[in-house]
Amino acid sequence: MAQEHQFVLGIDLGTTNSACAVVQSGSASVIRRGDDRIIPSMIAARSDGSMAVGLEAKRERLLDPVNAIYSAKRLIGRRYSSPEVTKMIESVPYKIFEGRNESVMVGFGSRKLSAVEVSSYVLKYLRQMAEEALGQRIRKCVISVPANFTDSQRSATRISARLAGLEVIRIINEPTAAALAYGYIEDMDRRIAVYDFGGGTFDVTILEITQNVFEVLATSGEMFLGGDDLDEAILAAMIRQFEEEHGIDLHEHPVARARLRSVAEEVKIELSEASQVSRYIEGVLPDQGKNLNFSLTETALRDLIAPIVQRTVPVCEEAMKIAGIRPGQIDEIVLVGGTTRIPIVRETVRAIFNRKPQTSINPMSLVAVGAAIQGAALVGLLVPMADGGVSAPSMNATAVLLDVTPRSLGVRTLGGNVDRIIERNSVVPVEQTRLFTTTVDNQKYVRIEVCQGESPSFDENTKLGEVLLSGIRPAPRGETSVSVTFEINTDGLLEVRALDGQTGQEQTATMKVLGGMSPEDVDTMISKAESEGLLGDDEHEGSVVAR
Amino acid sequence: MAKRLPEDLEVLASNLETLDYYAILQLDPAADYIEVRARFHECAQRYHPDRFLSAGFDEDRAKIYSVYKRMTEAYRVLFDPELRVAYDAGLRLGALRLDPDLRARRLTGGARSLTTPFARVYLNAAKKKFEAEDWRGAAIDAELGLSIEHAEVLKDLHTAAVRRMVRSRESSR
Repeated sequence: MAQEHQFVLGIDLGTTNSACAVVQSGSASVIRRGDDRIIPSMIAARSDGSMAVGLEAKRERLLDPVNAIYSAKRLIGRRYSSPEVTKMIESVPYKIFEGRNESVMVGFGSRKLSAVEVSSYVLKYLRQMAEEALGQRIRKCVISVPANFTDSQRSATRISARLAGLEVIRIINEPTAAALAYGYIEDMDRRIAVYDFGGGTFDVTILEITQNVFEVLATSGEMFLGGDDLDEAILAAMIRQFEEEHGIDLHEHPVARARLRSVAEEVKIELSEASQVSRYIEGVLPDQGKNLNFSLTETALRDLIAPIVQRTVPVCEEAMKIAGIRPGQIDEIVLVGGTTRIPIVRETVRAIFNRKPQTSINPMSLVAVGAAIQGAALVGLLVPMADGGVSAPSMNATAVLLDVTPRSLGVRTLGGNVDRIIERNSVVPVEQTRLFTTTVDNQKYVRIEVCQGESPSFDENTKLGEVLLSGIRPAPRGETSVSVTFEINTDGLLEVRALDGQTGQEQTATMKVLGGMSPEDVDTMISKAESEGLLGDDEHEGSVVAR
Repeated sequence: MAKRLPEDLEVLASNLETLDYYAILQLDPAADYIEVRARFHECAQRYHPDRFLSAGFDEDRAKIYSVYKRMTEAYRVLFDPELRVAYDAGLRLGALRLDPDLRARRLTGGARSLTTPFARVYLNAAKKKFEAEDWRGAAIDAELGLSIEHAEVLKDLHTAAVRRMVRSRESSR
């Protein structure tokens, strides 16, 4: 048997949509199924107990919004009590529950799923899509995450991939992937702004690239600002018109609203190309046969969405302020996310940075392409080149990507403040060691609370979890010390080790990640998935996907 | 497929605890910060663990990481003027690595908001001069800091120093 080409799947697991790409005979290509290059990051439980993924799930949502799970990325690796999850509970139609260890679960048909499992179904769908397109089993991937993802969000994403039958060879920051797709790697000293306006979130990241070091200077964003808000604005116009014509307020009719919202999305997308779009929607309220004839011009769309698009301006300004630079000091602007296709968005970007943004690569698959390029580079298949292409590897020229940790890592002090252990912007892998002493006679345990973030107050940062040091030598207080080493590895993941300060003996240090899963939970889930043949290692697997 | 690590990496790994930061990066102790950075980037190209990821060096993983992590540690210290002064002082007494507590230095609020270590040096100098009521000196240092990094904390300090400078001139008239 001829040796199979070892593909590494580059995956952009988005809040609203996902995409994947591979590098094939020297150039990156986006995986497609039919005409679809992106799939909604959504799963839905049908009434017959089966599951729909992607576009099918999006259609199911129109019929049964309570059992369609979207935006799982907003939940993954977060604690149930975090403000982001609280906000989600208020804004989504599906049910969110608290699981073990403060984790987040969602109601899915008759069962409950963890956010990790929801994402794993989307990832599995992408994997199968790639396997169909390439005609072979895919085992390895590089998966992208937002630069400001914490350790727990990163490790939860990694577990999702494992559940989907994929080995993650690297977790890459989305803006870094976007820049890689444009091939900014051999260029000297460039500053790049990545303006990422997706379906549900808006992020702007300023990167500085010096030789091969990708340094995140600043990243800022709005968790709840995206293309969905634009759809809402168009939907509101539709509802107003319907009320004027028929005297009925559709706010009381969720199914009709869901249907109009998907029309609003289509209208929005078409208006990036056309100057006017019209839609005739029959039977908005099926039992009453009321119709809506809706038409919108590009100019009218501008008026509708301008206030929303304007909200990205202060976010960009804040990022530049944090990075300590002015618009003139940015060399390139990279657009990511479908929303950046809208002309008024591009004009806004141009006004903010006083420069024309890069648009030569599709903004919806850019991150997946970058992840694929990084994947191929990691397995030694190619060298990324400055023009965005790739070439065969030459041993000495293979570029190495040096990423930095975008958030500081610290531990709680007695006064409730943060003692920083690893400062943000440290090149990874990085490790730092701290000495902890006992405060009580014959203390057996030391508990260290760990957080990520920049606030001096512990509670204002994202709490990651606790490190528990056990089996400490009994001694009067203050006489025993444990030296704890915190390491952030090349995936941005935290590893903790501990040594007895006096004897140098290794100590047990267990990291309990809040909102995450224990290693036992993960093993149980994986063996369960294996026994059900979900990982796809069996012979007869194939297109087990939703039609 | 058991492969052998490149010899230079083997040598670095087995001598790791006898090398100071300059030696691990093969730097002259008089090197300036531009050389430190350039040299670190060269080392990263050669010794970054990613370079060995696909080549079946599983058994040597620990060695590869220990060498590279020491390189990032050396870079972080030598690239930061304050840490480098502390390191050089310790090195004269025979300490090959900077004390862990100093390495994980606690930055104060204002200094934490700066990304470049050099802007931090100017900030600290400006603060000291401000406290000593050397308004002019503080303003100049803050301005130098601003030329490196356009940061709020430096701007504020600059404004405050200039204001005091003007006021003290007016009152001496």
